[in-house]
Amino acid sequence: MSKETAATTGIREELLRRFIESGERERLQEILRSKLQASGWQDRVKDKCQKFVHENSNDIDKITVDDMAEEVTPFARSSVPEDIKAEIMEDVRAFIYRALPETDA
Amino acid sequence: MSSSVTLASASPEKAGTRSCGRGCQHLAQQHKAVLERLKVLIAYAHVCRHRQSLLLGRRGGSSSTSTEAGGEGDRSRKRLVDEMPGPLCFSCGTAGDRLHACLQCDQYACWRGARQRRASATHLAQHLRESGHVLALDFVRLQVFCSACGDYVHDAGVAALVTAARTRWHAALCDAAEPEAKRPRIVATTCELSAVAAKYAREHGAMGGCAPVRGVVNLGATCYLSAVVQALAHNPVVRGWMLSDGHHRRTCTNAGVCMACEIDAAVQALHGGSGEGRAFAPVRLLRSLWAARGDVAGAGQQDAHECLVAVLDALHLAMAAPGESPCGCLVHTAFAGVLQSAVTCARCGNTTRSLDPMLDISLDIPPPPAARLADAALNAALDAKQRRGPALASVTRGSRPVLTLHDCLAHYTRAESLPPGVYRCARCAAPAAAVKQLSVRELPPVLTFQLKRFASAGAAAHSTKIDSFVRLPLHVDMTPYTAAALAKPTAPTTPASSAEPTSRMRRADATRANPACQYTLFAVIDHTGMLDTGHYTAYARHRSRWYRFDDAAVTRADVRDVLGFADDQAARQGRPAKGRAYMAFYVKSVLDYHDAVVPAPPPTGPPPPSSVTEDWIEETGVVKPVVLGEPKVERRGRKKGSTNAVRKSKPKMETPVPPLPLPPAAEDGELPVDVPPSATLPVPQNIVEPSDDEEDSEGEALWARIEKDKAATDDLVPMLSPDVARPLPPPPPPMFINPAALMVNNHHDDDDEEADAFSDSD
Repeated sequence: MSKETAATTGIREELLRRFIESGERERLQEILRSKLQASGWQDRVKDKCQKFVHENSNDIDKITVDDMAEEVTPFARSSVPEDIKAEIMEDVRAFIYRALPETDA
Repeated sequence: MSSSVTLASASPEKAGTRSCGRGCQHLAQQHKAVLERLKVLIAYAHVCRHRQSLLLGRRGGSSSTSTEAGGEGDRSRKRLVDEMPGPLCFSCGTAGDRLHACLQCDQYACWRGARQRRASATHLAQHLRESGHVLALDFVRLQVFCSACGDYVHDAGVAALVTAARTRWHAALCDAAEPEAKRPRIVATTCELSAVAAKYAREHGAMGGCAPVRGVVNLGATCYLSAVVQALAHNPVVRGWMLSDGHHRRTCTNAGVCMACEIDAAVQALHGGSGEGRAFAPVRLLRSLWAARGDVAGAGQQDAHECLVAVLDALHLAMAAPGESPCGCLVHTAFAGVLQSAVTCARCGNTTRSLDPMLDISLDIPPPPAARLADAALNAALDAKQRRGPALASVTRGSRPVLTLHDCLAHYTRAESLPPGVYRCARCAAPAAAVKQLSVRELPPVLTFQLKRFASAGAAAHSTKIDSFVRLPLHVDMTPYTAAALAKPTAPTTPASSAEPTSRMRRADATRANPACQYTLFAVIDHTGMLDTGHYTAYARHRSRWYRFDDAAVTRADVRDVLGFADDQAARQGRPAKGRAYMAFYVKSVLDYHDAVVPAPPPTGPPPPSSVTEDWIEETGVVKPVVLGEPKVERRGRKKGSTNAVRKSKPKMETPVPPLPLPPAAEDGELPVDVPPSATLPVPQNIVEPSDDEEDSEGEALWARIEKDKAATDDLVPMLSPDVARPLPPPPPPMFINPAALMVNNHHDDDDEEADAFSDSD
């Protein structure tokens, strides 16, 4: 069992490496960015960040980018429109199938 | 992936404002070494980040893929990819998100490492702790992280480096996105202040205070005019043109009523700060509108879009120089684009293209995208649900797709099949079925959309208003709707997307985002009420804040109101949502500035007098500008321009210049700063000097040259209007800062702070 896990991890890393080196990650990131921007997700998240800053304006010196990321990330994750999520996931899956032609991934 | 995008939009500003003014002492201690490292790292980061985009732009890259072999372009591509591998985290060996480069050694470390992503438990923190190093650079967002401060820190020197690099890479990416297009050298891209400019502003007067926004009096059912005037006055290009005396009534040669004078008066009144909070009454403007267009005269309610068209029409007539083609007037400089209509014969495949000038785009509102979730998408969502547990599913369930501006644009540029018999192919010489497609051939600096809410369905009597909510994004990328993108073969450009993509996806994939096609919202005109009677209000952005203009009443608005977050939410939950937005005004997020150094022959007349009073200058503490030599007007490339001998302050979007041998750099402090009395023009200075050392001396050298030329001719003309173009890399000292002009840049909330920050680096 543990052997298999190690192999899976190896494949995972190899996949990630190819994902990045082929430029697929960059391409998908760009597509995702423009889709999220068009859907208004970016505006909503930015608004949330601004709210966070306003709420903490008293101790503005203490809060960090990390605090804000922690606060906003759950909302940001959950508010990604479902169709965009599905489309990107489909693209990633397509890449994996292409990258692993022989194995039964 | 989503979290990294979040931070892209959120963190830089916050980190910047937080430590603004004080700075990080840890960074200050080794400022020089850090800057040296950054010079290399920033370039490296840009290559890594935009590698694929840059590769596409290589010779012939637009059609072939990076895996195809052969050709010189491919070799250089290969070199870029192979010989400059992206950095990997030294701890985990992956290029995970939020990769940081240590600024004190050659290590890279990422933000992973712990279950909770706290700064103290990441690979980066681990490295910094073990090595005793303090500073690291966020490799994607180019922010400096200081582990001693525990946060990202702002530094003027670093910011200047990043800005300068961004300018250069912006140009490179524009070229990559459109390899065929010829464009002049881009020298600056935003309207931030350079260090020298900020220093001058501080020493020679305060930065101009913010003139309050003013309402516009309703003169009896003229709310349509109020809204249009506000949208025009807050249009950065129009505002810049008018505030820099692009047209002035004292030099106006038009007989009778002149729309240009009235718009000028309106912009001056709304931005001049003289109103003492009272609303502006556009009496003369209304009169000249009526004079220009008899059909809108009278007390009735009018359509805001028609009103805008009428105003622009009259404005063009008042400003256009006869016989000039293409027109160099304000209207065409700011609003004019070109639409392309391509008809492809289904039989022989012959495509006929016709080009149409446009000043705005009228978009039909398509039916709501109810069935947008394809089966495949649903399956994927279900899979995800199973894998990640119910948490994910519960938050996204019930969210329905909302109609967005992009849907309208996709609908507008859809391929439309013409029934046989309508079209007669020139090549087949026979009637044939055909496919027609609209696209944008040339994008204007200011993009205006009208949402056709007033549909006449069938009989004219049965006109109704479409109430559907249309989401306006704050930023819009027009790349997918340009002729270049739509003309590309629909086959995916990369070996990716072997899965059956929908046509919508394919369109988005067909091209990479072109940085020259990015737009930012600056005004919205809302309509409430019925078809025949209703009320217009406007939202507009002024100094990166939103205001709601309801005739004479002006209130602060939140971007949530502007974009209709409440209705957006309702629409996504399937509740009834009402769309009010009727017109949306976008301006290019990055207005390119091009250098033009060759001074033109002396102008024909005396410079037009100032249109702001000395009092106003005193009051607002605005620095008087020095006036530059008129740049040689010569344009080439996509946007054809022409010389205009009369109107000196025409904004020039793309003014190329031959490369000049640089004279030795002049000394900064010795430049003449006296201002000729005739030149007290409110010319906003808003071009960034990319202010690393090399660029700085170049700018100074150019400035010295201009000064010399000026001394020779002693003829002065006003500078170009603010938001568009200025002749050369900004002259260091004498300058004018128009508060209003700084608005284009939406990152600047506090200019004084910025000035402080910048001058610290001197």
